[in-house]
Amino acid sequence: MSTEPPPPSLRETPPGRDAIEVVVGRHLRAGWWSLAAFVALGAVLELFHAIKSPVYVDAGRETTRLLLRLAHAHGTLLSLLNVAYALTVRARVHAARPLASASLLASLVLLPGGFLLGGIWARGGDPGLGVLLVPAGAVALLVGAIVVGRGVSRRE
Amino acid sequence: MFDAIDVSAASPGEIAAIGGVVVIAGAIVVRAMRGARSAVVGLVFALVLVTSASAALFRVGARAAVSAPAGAPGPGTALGYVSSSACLGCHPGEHASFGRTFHRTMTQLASPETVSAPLDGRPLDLDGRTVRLERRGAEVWATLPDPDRVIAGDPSPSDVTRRVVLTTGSHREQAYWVAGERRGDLRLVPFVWLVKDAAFVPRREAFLTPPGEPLPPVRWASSCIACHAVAGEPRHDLERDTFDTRAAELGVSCEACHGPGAAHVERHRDPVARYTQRASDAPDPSIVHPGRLSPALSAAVCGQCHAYAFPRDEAGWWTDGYSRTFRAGDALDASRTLIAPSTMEDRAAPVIDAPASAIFWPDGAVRVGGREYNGLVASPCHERGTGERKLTCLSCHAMHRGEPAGQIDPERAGDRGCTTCHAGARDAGHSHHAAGSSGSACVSCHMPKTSYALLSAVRSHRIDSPSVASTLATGRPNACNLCHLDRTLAWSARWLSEWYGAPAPSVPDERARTASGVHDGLAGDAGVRALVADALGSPEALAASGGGFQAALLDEMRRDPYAAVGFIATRSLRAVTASATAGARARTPEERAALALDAGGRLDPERVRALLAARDGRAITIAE
Repeated sequence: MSTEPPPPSLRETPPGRDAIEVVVGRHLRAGWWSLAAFVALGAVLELFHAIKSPVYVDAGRETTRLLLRLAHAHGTLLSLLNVAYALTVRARVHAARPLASASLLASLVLLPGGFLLGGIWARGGDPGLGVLLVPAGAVALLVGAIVVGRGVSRRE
Repeated sequence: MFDAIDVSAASPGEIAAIGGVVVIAGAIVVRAMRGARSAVVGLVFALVLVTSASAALFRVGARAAVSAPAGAPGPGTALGYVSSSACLGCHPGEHASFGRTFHRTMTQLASPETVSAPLDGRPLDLDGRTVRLERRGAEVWATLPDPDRVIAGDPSPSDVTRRVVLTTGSHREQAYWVAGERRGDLRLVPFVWLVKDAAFVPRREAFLTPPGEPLPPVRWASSCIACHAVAGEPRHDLERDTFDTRAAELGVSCEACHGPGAAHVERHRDPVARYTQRASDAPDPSIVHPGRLSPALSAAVCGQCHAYAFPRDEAGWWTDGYSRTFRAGDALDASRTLIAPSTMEDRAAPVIDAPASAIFWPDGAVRVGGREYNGLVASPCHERGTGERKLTCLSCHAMHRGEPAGQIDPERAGDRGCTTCHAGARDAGHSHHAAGSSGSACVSCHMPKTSYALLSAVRSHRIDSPSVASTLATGRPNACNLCHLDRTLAWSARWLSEWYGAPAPSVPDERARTASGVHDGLAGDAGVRALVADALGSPEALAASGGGFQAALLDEMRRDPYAAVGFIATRSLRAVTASATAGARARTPEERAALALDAGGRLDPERVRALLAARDGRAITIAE
């Protein structure tokens, strides 16, 4: 059971310090742990190159290689984005909106997750079905960016 | 970028993983938005909607089934071959440059993408029978008279409709193979597609064959496999006359020239081994690099296909091909006997299904294109050269550089293939032709187009010098008169004597008074006529000979009884008609007489009749 206090609605008033810390803590944890995971994925991909793994470098694996690289790149950048969001919330409390938080976290899962699954189950030149998660993640990221942008644009 | 997703092929694991990610994302959203219930519903709804919409954007559903056609060669069994797909990861540049060549596409599985010919089902008439090629989804099908019954001599074979299995060629011509009645047997569709001419022609007319004489039947697993695939294995069952054909890879691929790659791939999975090798000047022992072989062995890499040869172990060949007796880097001698006129006279030598006169000129020069190795090894530049100065294929050609047609190494283009050794020839005015003109190029005089293949004249690769005496003795046109088609042999003999001190041979009256192009185009044997028909339309010969006689001569040659000669003459006539340099040159009465032209610029019928009566009528078949 979570003991976190629910974050208040931030439509009219800025959240309290406790609520801010909950959001900050959540995004710092998500950001740094996912950064570790996606950097590890990058290391695995480097290893595949080093040992010239046929599942990664042979002809016919171009789609897998592309999608796994995209998963690594998006995962790493979105991890850093979540860390940046946590620091943004500390600096500008109006950015701490539940919709922004939920969108950025969802994009952190959906975007690289979609690329990863699409790459693992790629067939010839086509990605696996997991790639269908990517557009959803992209929309979540867009929503998050807009909400954060609006939040930081408000006067404190 | 991605055009299709085959939902039906999704595995339970894939579906479960996707569901897991969706659940995690949903849980995150719900948790992050406690206190904003309407927004939770909105965001989850939006994510589901976008995911569904993105799925709808793809053409979801099972794709048309694409499978290897029945009858296609199976995977090879020779040890150590891994196919070019294993080379791409480390050598993307080489993989791409080799991929541009016509070697790669020498044999392909037939599909709408690999078949160059139109697949609209147009009727192709062959002796009153209709042949069709058509697309059916991702497959190519042919309707044709039953090829096995045709070969058996059935005068009215029934039509069959079969899937096209393989294609051969992609540069000049493309031929198509369907399954025969016996297991593993592939038979040719009786039409080939001429790539540059964008036209179908009956196969028997695409090769130099005597009129009315059928081409010998060919089977892919016996006639083509040795050179049109990597490590091909016919696996012929002598008792049943069936094949269990196999190949490491279709087409001429990486391992044809570099040898089997498994040991190399395995060794270089270790990055330490890779970087150690890069730092070393020593050749990599796990792979063959033709450029680091001795010139003789380097040439043998190409010679494994570009040579007339016969397997030393014929019985073994029918099972394994050369897959167990030859690998790139080996000498050819251990696996095959190089065919030459002298070996064909040897009673103990294998019997070749063609007369020596159709394969070699009387002086031993090979007259069939694609067999350049036979010419190379008989060249003084190869025979007498040593070390770096021994001529090899790589002296001029490169597999990974240059234009796909010809594959001339850009660093050896022009005369540079020759001037690496003969540096002084250019400066000394050796050619006696204007600098920069086609006549001044080394290959114009020393590698004339006296070989024939695929409706074209091909440069001889036996390096020699123009000799009228040789032409008189062998019938092989000399380099001078393949450009100066309007001149006689006596004219060439005079200039060769004046410029190079060549002994002037005694030229018979008829040859001394008839332009070489006219004489050879009408009275030469079928192979010579094909070479002359090709030369008459070449820009070099048009510039050297001037215009005014080619059209009349080619118009006569279009009626040649050999369909291939007629086809080439027609093609050259189009080139002459379109050429800006083909205007008539002012000629003296003697010159017009040499060209057998009357005062009106027409061929003199009496001279034509006399030349046709003197024609060398030997049957010539060059099925290459």
